[in-house]
Formats: sequence, structure tokens, C-alpha cells
Amino acid sequence: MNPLIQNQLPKKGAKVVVAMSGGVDSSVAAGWLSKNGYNVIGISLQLHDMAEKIDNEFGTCCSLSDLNDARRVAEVLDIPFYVNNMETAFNEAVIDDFVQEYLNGRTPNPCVRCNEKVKFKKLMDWALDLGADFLATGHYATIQYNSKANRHELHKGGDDGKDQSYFLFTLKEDELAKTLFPVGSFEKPVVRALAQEYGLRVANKPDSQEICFVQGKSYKEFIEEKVPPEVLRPGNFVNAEGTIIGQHAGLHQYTVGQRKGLQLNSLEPLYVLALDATKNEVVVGPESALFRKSAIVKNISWINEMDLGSTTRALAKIRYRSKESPVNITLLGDNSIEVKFEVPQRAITPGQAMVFYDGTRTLGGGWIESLSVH
Amino acid sequence: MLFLTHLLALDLELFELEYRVKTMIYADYNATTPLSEGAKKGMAQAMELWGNPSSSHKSGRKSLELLNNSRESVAALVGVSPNDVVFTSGGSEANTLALMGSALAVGEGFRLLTSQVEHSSIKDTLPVIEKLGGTIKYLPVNPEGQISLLELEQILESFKPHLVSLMTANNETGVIFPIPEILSLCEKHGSVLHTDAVQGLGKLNPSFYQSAHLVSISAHKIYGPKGAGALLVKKGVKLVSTHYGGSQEIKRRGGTENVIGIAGFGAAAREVLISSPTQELQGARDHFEQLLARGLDGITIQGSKQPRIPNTSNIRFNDIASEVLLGALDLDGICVSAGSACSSGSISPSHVLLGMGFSEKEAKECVRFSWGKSSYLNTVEEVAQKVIAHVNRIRARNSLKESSK
Repeated sequence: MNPLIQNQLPKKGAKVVVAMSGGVDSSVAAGWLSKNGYNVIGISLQLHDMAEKIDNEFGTCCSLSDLNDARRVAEVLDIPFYVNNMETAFNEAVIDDFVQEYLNGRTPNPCVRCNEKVKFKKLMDWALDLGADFLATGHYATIQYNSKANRHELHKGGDDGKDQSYFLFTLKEDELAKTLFPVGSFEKPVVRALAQEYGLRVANKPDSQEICFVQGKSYKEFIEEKVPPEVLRPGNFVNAEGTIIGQHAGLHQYTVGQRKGLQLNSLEPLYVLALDATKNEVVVGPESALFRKSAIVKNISWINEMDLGSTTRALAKIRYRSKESPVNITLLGDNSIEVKFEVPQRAITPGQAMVFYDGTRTLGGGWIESLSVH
Repeated sequence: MLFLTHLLALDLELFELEYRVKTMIYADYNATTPLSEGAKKGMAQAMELWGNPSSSHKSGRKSLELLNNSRESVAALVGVSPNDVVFTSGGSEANTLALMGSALAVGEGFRLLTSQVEHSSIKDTLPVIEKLGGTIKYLPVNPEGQISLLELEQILESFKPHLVSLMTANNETGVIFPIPEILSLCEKHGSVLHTDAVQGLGKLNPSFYQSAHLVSISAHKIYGPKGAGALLVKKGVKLVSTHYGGSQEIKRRGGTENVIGIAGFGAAAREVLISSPTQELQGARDHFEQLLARGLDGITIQGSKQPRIPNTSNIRFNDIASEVLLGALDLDGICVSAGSACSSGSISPSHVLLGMGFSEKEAKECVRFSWGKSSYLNTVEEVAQKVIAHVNRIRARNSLKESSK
């Protein structure tokens, strides 16, 4: 089987730069390419003080275990390996935005943002500067060349439970033409088996579960370390009618749909319905009020050119782990759309990405701005 | 695990071969040098003499003789007395010992004058000295990486440092400080002079640095092994040891000596003493710089108007990040370097270039080429040709990107 799915498999010997994170997926991506006759170069971005810091009398240094894993995998595969420090770009584009979004009462998705602003942008640039024909990553998604429409399309990965197309919606077709996802059509156990077969030390490394830069702490703790305490003001819990029913400890501690940790006295369980940054209020209510049918989505980005008529039907995902659901999309102009679901969705959350599909094909997506009044 | 070890062994043979048959061009001799055959032989011999040099029995005496033999060879290379040689684990330890040893000898109120372009083993010792109550002042360098003797004399007069630490030749730019002149000013004002001569050893006539009171040198920059170096301590210089627990090196550096490494250092020193083709090296380096200057616009050669060691070129290629050029050259089998490698292997802008007044962006566009034994005219020509091609290709892509914006 051709795991690249692409109907046009790159010529053997093509120069491919693989973005290696030190995890099993990107390691196998590099391994598969190098075992299948491609001229492979490994690169890693150092995005933040990776892994745990070692504090001692002599100062702080990072242990960099993930980078070291990537480096040692590259050595076993006998491919060149380079590291580029992108801490400044990552801090500005991803971490600062992550903190600011929480302060604005939104729940950000830093991984999508990192793919858009840092990873694919910088990596592709670097790859082409190195004279490469393609950039490869370890994402679970596939790229298909549609010869009828003469375009590269982004499709879901082969492992339903692992599909990462959601995180890639900001890519454009011209970027897809130069991108490869070598493990995209595999199931995870196959990837681990290949890692064994290639003799890679990361074969049994656990999947990363958390956002890379907040490992080992809660988002609350992370944000509290980043901003002065006076910014994180307590405020009111209010119900849908605006009645004050309690005190909250700072907007950054809440997300839409949250029930735990509200510490409110109420006969029925209360859930966070919305965060109002201007009033510094957390709106709460019964679970039934969480189910909504429409939202405004901004900064829309389509992978292939889209012909949006008056309304367009598609499937939409309101967060990475939610199921797709049928929608009608109406263009609002200014790169915004209104999305109406046929079935009410639980906890549509401002700040999260909404991604649209037509079957397995990823159309693109945007950022949830607000719930519309309908 | 056995399987992996075997793979690595095969790799190593291949690596050696790549260097010897020149599918790999090594142009990073300031980082380290390949082991000479003489150094390998010297170390192989030492492996048969495993006695502790401090033991009074025969096996110890044999090892001690080997050690003293190396001590003489190293001393002869620099032109100092064998008694001056304190073997260390390398240049960094020698630098640390010079600074810390002097600071501890003086105690509270220790005053140190140094520059902002010194090796990181000097730079990173400074906060520790400050923590011990010492005061540090910096002698500025100009954009060419050179100090001013006039300024030095003024600071010597006003600051009255106990110790002055200024390097012989800069590892990144190759720029040489006038150590003999600096020494006479120091002596006039009663300051001790330490010089980090790691990059001078084997590349410069020893008269450039041998007379300083404290001199740091290292084996692996002269085709000897890593893990061996020395601080040369002239008679009468007050120094407190920083390694305790034995009377080795006349109590100036405790710990059983690295006999094998030191034997390699001695053997390498003897080879350099016999022949050190610095003239040819300078010819190749200058040829390389001329080729680039002729072939490319938008480049600057750091310290080109200053006296430099004959093997080093530090070149800024405008608008090209050094890691991109480094990667592209490595893929062609050409080893060069830039900045200082962080623990991750990513490149931070060089504090040397920042110290010379470069902006962070400018510093990140500089690449160091340092030549050595295997660099001939045709070697530098091949590298120059590849550099020119890559720079032109990357610049063309960048201008394409700019115009499509």
C-alpha cells in the first residue's frame, strides 16, 4: 500500500525535510521515507524550554529530552539532523496569544495556531532553503491529488481515533502540494510496529496528552505565572437573567461547559454558559442551555478555493474531540460566516476552531467568535 | 542493545573514511581537530602503562616518566619551563583555574579586567567571581574585534585590576590581541596577565603569548585528544587550586592525571614543534576570502583589517540565517560552524559578535570557516564554490518571496 495516498507518489530520491518532534509518529515518518528511497533530512524546532528544567546553583538549563530523542532517531536512521530555535516566534505567536485569549474569556487552541503561525510557515521556509522538494510531518491526515479539479486536497487520516486534519485547516493547497504525511493513512499500532521494525527507541513512547508548553501544570497555574495577579480579578457569577449568584476567582479559570469547581449553591447542577470579559462575568445555567444551534465563525481559511453560494451545506466539528454534524454556512463578509447546525451542539466555545468537512475532505475552518442570537 | 553498538562501530569506520577520502570537507578546526597519527600512537603506548603516576613503585614510575615527558614536550612547544605546566582537563578548566585560582588567592575585593569577546569559559566564570565579592570591568572592543591599548592603560590606572584576562586569538573571528604590549602595560601597573591561548597554540609563533603570567592551552586544537589541556603558571604567580584531594601538579590541580590524554597532548605537541604549516594555511584562507569577495555581494569578513590567526574566516552573508547555510553546506558534506551551540544544538547569536557591536540579526548571519591540516587550495576552492551557489540560490528564493508578497 502506498501510505502517502497521494496518487502522485514523489519520485524516489526526492529531497524531503521531516519535522521531527521526538515522538513516535514523526520518527516513523522519517523512517518510512528513508527506508523507501527518499533523501531525508530531519529538523526540529525548539519552541520553548522543552521538558523539565534543571535548576541549580549554576543557572538553568533544559534537559531537552524530546529533542534528544529526535536526534538519536535521526542517528539510527543515519539522516542529517538540525535544530532551529524558534522560541521567540513561538512565544509571540502562540504563548502570548494563549494567555491573552484566556484573559479575553475565550478558550484557545494553541496547537492549530502553532501549525499556522510557526510550524508550517517556518518549517516550509527552512525546508525550501535547504533545497528540499517536500516537507513531511507525522500528522494523521492524508493529501490527495484530485486530477479532475487539478488540486491537492486535505483528507482525514486513516486512523479514525487519531485523525488530526482538524489541526491542519489553515493549510492552503499550494502548501499541500509540497507536504507529505507519511504515517497519515496508518493506524497507530502499525506506526508503533514500524518504529520497532526500524529499531527506533521511541517505539513505546507514550503519546503526548497535553499542550506542550504547559506540561505538568494546569492552564490556570500556567496563566497565573505569566500575568501579574491584578489582571486576574475576581468577578460575579450571574445567571441567564443577569442576577448575581456568586463570586468567581478570575475568568481564566473557566471554559464553556465546565461544571466542576464553580462552588455555587444550587438545586440543579450549573454549567458555564458564557464568559463576558467586558463585565468580567461568568454566565451559568442548566445543562440544557448549553445546547445551541448557531455560531459566528471568523478568520475563515479555505484549503481549496470555495464557491460559497447563498448557503453551503457541510459537516462541522466544533472542537477536536467532537463529532461532525451537518451545518448550513452563510457568508457574512469580512471573512466571517454564520454556521447553523441541524442538531444542537453542546458547549460551542469561543476561541476554539470550527473545521468543515465534505466526507473525508477537509474544506477549511475558522475561529468561533460568538454564539449567534438565532 | 548489542545490535545498536555494532551499527555504531560500522558508522565510525565510515566516518573516518569520509574524512580521509574527502567526501567530507572539514572546515571547523577551531572547534576541534582530528587526532594525528602521532597522538594516537602516543596514547596507545600510554594504555600499556596503566600505573598511577603518584605510586612510588615501578608501574607508577613508568607512568610518571611518560607524564614528565609530555610535560617537557608541551613546555617546549610554548617555550616555557616544564615546571610551569599544570595539566588540566582542557582549555575551559585552565581558564576557570586561572580566574578562580587568582580570585581565591586575593579574596574579597578581587578586581578583574577582561573583554566581552572571551571564550564562554571565561564569561561564565565571571558571575561566580562576582558572587565571591569580586569586581569585573570590561575592556571594550571595536567593530573589528580589536582592543585599544590606550583605553587599556587608562583602565589599568583607574581600576588597578589584580588580574587581566585577555585572549591571544579569538576563536570565532581569529583576531589577535597584542599580548606582548598588553603584558608590558600590565607589568607597569602591577597586574597579573592571563591569556587564553587555546586558538594561538600551533597557529602562532609562541612569542605572541608565551610571556604572559598565566596561559591556557588545549590539546584537541593541535590534533591531540579532547580532555587534556594545561594552564601555564609562571613562577611567583599566586594561585589557589580549584581541585582538591591530592598533591598532583604540585598541588595546583588535585586528581589522578589523565595519563593517556596527556600522553596524546605531548605527542601532538612534538609533531607541531617539528612542523606547523601556517604559511600554506594563510595562503589557502586568503584565497578563500578573495574567492568569496569576488563571487558575492553583501558579505563582510570580520576583523579583516586586524592581525588574525592564519586559519580563520568569519563571514557575514547579509540576509541569510547562518543555520540555513550551515545545513545546506552540511548536506554537501562540508562542516562549518556559527555562533555557539546551545544544549539543544540550536544556534544562539554569538556573544563575541554581539560584543563587537553586531545586532542579533547580523550576528545570526555570520558563519565561521576554520581551516587546518587537510585544507588545500582546491579544498577552499570547492567550499567557496558551494557557498557562492547556496547563497545565490537562497537569496534568489528570498527575493522571489518578497516580490510575491
